[in-house]
Amino acid sequence: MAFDVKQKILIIDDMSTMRKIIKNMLTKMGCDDLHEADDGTPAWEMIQSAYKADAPFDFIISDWNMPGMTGLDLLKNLRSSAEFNTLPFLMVTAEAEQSNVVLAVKSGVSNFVVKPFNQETLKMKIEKIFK
Amino acid sequence: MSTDYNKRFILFSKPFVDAIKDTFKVMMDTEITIHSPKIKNENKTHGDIAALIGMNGLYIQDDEEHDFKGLLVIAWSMETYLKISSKMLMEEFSEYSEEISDTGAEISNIVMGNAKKILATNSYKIDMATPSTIKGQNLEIKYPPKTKVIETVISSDLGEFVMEICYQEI
Repeated sequence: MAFDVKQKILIIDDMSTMRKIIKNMLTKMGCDDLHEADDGTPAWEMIQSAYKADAPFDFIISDWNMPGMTGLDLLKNLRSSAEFNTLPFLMVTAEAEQSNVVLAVKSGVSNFVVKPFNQETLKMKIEKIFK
Repeated sequence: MSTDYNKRFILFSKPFVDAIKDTFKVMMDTEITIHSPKIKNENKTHGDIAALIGMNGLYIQDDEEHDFKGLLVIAWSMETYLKISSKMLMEEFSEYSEEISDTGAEISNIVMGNAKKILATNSYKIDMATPSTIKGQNLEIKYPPKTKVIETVISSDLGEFVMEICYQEI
C-alpha cells in the first residue's frame, strides 16, 4: 500500500514542540487527518477507541522516550495484538545508538527516524514504509 | 584540577559542539558560528530562557570505570528564542506562548542525544535526564561546587546565544 496523504495519522510525543514540527511537516506534504497524543498511554487508548469506532488509525508516528508509556512499550502492545500487529509505526528518537535501532527492529518497528531531521528525511522514511 | 581532567573535559565537550551545529543545520537550515570556548567563573547565565538537561554515567579508562555527572545548558535572549522557535516550528511566533515553552528543551534533548552517540564511541556510557526549560531575567544556575563550566558563545542569523557544559568526575 502506497502512502496516501488522506491517511489518519497519530503523532505521539511528550514535547509539544516536536508534535507541532511533525504536524507542520505532514501538513506541508498534504496530510490533514492528523491527531496528537502526549504519551503512549493516551495514545494506546485512542488507537483502540478509533478501531472500535470503525475509524482506525492508518499510521503511527511516535517518540521513543516519554515519561509514561514509552514508544517502545506502545509498539510492543500493538505488535502483540491481533488488530494492530501490522499497523505502520515510525519511531522518532534523539538517541541514535545502534542498540536502540536493533531493539526497535526486533520489536517490530516499521522504520526509524533520528532527530534532528528535516521534512525531506521524514517524507523519505514514511515513503519507505509504504513502498 | 589535573591536566588529564582538563583533556577529558575538552574531549567530552566537543561532541556537543558538533551536535548543536548539526541540529541547527538540519532542523532550522541555519549555519551557526562557534566562538572560542572559555571557562566560566560565575553562576549567572546570560539570557531570558535556558534549557537544561542533566546527565550521569561512566567512562572507561585503562579498563577501569569512573563515574561522572554533567549538565548541558543552552540559553537564549527572548528575541533569539522567538526567531529560533519560528524557524524550527515553521510558523511565526512574535511573543512567548505555551506553544513554544518546550522548544528549548527539545533542542537540548536533540543535542544531548546526538552528543551521547558520539561519546559512546569514546568509552562514555551516559544516562540522560528529562530536559526542562526555565524562564526569567538574569537567570542564575547553581553548578555544583568545585566544578568547571565551559561557556561557548554561538552566533547565527537568528541571533546569539550560549551553550554551557558542566562536567564533574566523581
